[in-house]
Amino acid sequence: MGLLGTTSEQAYYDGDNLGNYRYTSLASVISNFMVAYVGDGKLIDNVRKSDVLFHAKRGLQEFSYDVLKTVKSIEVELAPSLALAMPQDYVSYVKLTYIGSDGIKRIIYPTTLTINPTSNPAQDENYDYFYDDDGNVIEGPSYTEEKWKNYDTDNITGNLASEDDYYIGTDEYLQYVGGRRYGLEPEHQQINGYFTINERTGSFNFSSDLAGKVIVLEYVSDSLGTDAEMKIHKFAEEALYKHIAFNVLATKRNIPEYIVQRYKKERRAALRNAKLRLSKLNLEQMTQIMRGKSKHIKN
Amino acid sequence: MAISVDNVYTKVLSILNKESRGFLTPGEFNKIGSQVQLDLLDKAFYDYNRAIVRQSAGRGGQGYADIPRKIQDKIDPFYATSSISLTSGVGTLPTFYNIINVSADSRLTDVERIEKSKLSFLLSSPLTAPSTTFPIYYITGSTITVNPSSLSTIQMDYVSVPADPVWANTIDSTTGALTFDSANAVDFTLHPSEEVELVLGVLKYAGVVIKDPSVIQMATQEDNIKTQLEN
Repeated sequence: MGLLGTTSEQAYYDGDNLGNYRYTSLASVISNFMVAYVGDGKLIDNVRKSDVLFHAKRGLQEFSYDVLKTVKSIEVELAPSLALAMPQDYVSYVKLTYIGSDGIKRIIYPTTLTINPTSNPAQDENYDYFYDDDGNVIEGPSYTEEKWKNYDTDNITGNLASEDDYYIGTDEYLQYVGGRRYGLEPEHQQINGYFTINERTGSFNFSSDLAGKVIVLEYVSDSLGTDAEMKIHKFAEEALYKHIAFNVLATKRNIPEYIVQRYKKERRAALRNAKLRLSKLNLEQMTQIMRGKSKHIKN
Repeated sequence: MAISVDNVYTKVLSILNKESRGFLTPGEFNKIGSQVQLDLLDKAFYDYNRAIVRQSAGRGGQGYADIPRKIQDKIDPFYATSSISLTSGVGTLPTFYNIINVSADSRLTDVERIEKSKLSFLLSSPLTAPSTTFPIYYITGSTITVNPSSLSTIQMDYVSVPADPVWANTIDSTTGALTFDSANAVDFTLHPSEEVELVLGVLKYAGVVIKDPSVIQMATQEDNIKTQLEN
């Protein structure tokens, strides 16, 4: 029977699994592996399914980071607190943008101008810490975060009302820290706003100019958040089999080293193949982009 | 596909009576038969393992030379399957000799047997924690415990403990002669290819019963020759 099984076309188009044919579930990968790679007369004569499950999930995690490009995104209106909580399955961010009234996304850049301290001990007038009944330090509000939250970033970007303000104004950063008009750091010459990652609160903190804006966070997860996510793109399926086989053989006793090395190479080759396939290099798209190379003035 | 209990008993008696060595009563035969049947079943697992190792070393063959398949055929008559209902993940096991496979969800989901010593690690590891897609089980005495406990039914494929062979008979009230009663007899479950070993095995034990070492010696010698041929 073909892979489509008994699902009729109508059932497919009426269902909620559109586009799911691209993927193979983790459970299927493990069953396939146990059938094809494990057994009498094979290199792996016996292996526990829980071991295979472990290596499969670890493989899926690793692939998610640099092969699968499983970028998720979340669109939120930024609260007055200027903080956006990291999503439940967040591993790392790819890009933060805010959406203008035209629907176009504008990149928000990370900044090193400020910091989110991981600890803010509350202090008394003698600068000693306050402790709770268990002897733990009591945390207070962060002075740095409070000041940054209230800071007008126009003073950094130079996005001031007039030429006079631009050169003379009350701009502390431009005058004393940033080196006036001609000594500005190019990384600060943008008006899209800034963000920092607050490890203490598990959130992104934004500069004050982004209050009320619609923020889109694009981030990488590890594909293990929910059962439905545990699937691999068919372009990378072979790489996952090779990954599991290599890791099982590498941790098994009495397997000749040349066999382990062979599977290590096979894994690397399959992974490279998967990366190429999934990178979606499109000749027409590349041609279109390259046409811009002869344009002298770009906006 | 079973071995007729009457065939075996008749053969054993003919060999024993050849030189008037003695007589094996049906009761003794039934007990010995049961013992030998278990012996041969157990031996089949070791033979299978040896054959697989030999095959993996490139010393196997196909078709008639496929020894692992032949030994599989010897074990297959004992194959049984059973559906077990679970209450809070716990069910009662049927009498089994060896578990082949446990599955759930109409056999679509394999339930993995785990070592009890690894249970806490498996449960606490987020990557290997059991789920309905990847359930696990362990055995305690005659009960099976499945995790997650939300599973209500499992299917178990196993090698069953063979039924004891019975050479049933009726006694002629006048002559006292024993006549085989096929209606109440229980045949050996073993594969027909095991008949020779079965007879030899019964003879070995029979030699002990009738206290005749020459029977034991003869049966052992025959068995050894057979083993040498097989290897």
